[in-house]
Amino acid sequence: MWVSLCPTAEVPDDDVVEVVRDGHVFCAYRIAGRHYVTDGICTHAVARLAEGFVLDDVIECPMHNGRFHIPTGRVDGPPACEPLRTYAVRVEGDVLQIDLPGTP
Amino acid sequence: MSATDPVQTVRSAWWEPRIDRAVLKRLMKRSDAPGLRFLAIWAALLVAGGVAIHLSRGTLWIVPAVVAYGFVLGFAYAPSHECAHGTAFRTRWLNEAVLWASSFVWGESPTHRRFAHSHHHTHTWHWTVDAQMGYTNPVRLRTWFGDIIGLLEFWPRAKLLVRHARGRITDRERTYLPENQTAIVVREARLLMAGYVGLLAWAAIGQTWVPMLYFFIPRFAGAFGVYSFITTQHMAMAQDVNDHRVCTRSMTNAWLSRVLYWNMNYHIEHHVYPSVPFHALPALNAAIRDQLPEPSPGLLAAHVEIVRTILAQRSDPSATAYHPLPQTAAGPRAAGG
Repeated sequence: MWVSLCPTAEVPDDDVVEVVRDGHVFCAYRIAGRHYVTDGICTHAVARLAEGFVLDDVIECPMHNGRFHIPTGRVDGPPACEPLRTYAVRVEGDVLQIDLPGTP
Repeated sequence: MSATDPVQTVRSAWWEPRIDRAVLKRLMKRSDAPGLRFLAIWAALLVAGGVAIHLSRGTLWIVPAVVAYGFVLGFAYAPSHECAHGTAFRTRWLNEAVLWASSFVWGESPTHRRFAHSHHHTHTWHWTVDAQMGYTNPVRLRTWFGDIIGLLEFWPRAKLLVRHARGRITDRERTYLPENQTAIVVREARLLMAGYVGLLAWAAIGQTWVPMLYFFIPRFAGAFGVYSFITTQHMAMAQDVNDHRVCTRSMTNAWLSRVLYWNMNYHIEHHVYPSVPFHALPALNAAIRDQLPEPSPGLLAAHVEIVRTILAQRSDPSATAYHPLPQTAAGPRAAGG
């Protein structure tokens, strides 16, 4: 089910913003004009990815420098080993929405 | 962590400075040029040392030449450490290639180095937890001495490498090594061992002193150089506290020391923001200096402080080195809080 995450204006160009929805932490990105959303907590150790660094289409964790490919969530650099969950996105008006499976 | 924050992260328990997010992001930017420049200076010094060894063969001058060359060689620690973080270079293959080459000199599987060091950053100077904390307070003088001449490092590292090459991973290592990385650590340890055995075989079969004079002997004889720097990072500081300003020591160093050590004299700054690459640490220091304690004024001063603290710990085992925090900065957070 599609749910609203945040206004698109809040998502910086070629960078990341953290959005907390119902206690779940997401990261929203706009990379080369395209929107992406991933989980917001690193899969290696509990760290907020939005405090990290966006390098092209890769997000680097601020704590241990583990890296994830933003469009797919695949691991792009150790010490991360588990992929990052990604979400299908769409823009409705000026709102970024994600497809949240299992949401009523 | 705020009252409404849904996530308790590994960072939220630790003290963090006030810094503008845009400034921090700018400091995190990666570049190849500074690392290549530092590597070039290191390589030039190695070549100079190598020439000195060559010219002094057959004379007693070879002793200081080997020590001086080994002094420089030991600083393979610095690129190995920075590449383990993945922050040395913007170009990924360059980062991994230098990690491998410098880890061969350093003598540790690159993957083990990376994961053990990540653990060190998560649990900095928490006794029995931090994977890279080799001693606890109170520190003994012989521990200080053994650490700076490298004795406390070489033997455990050699045993570690042999154990990994034999395929043995301890339960403690499994707390920071994911299951899918253990086979990689074993493979890397075997590759490193093969390299060292190959060098020894070259010396024996080829009847040449080259591997001994340019690798093994200087690596031991000059190890005190880099270890005298590394020892200052945490020794005799407070432990089991979630504030890098009191468990970690920064110091001022001259230009050449900073180049050889890849700016790790800014060690509090490095621990507070490990995503900031080595070349931006002076700028990070400038941005948050008002919230940091004064650094030790040089390598010698850091060791004087360590020895004084060790002597004080003889009568008061709870004594630790302490650099007063600035009045304007927030105090340390309670451990686990």
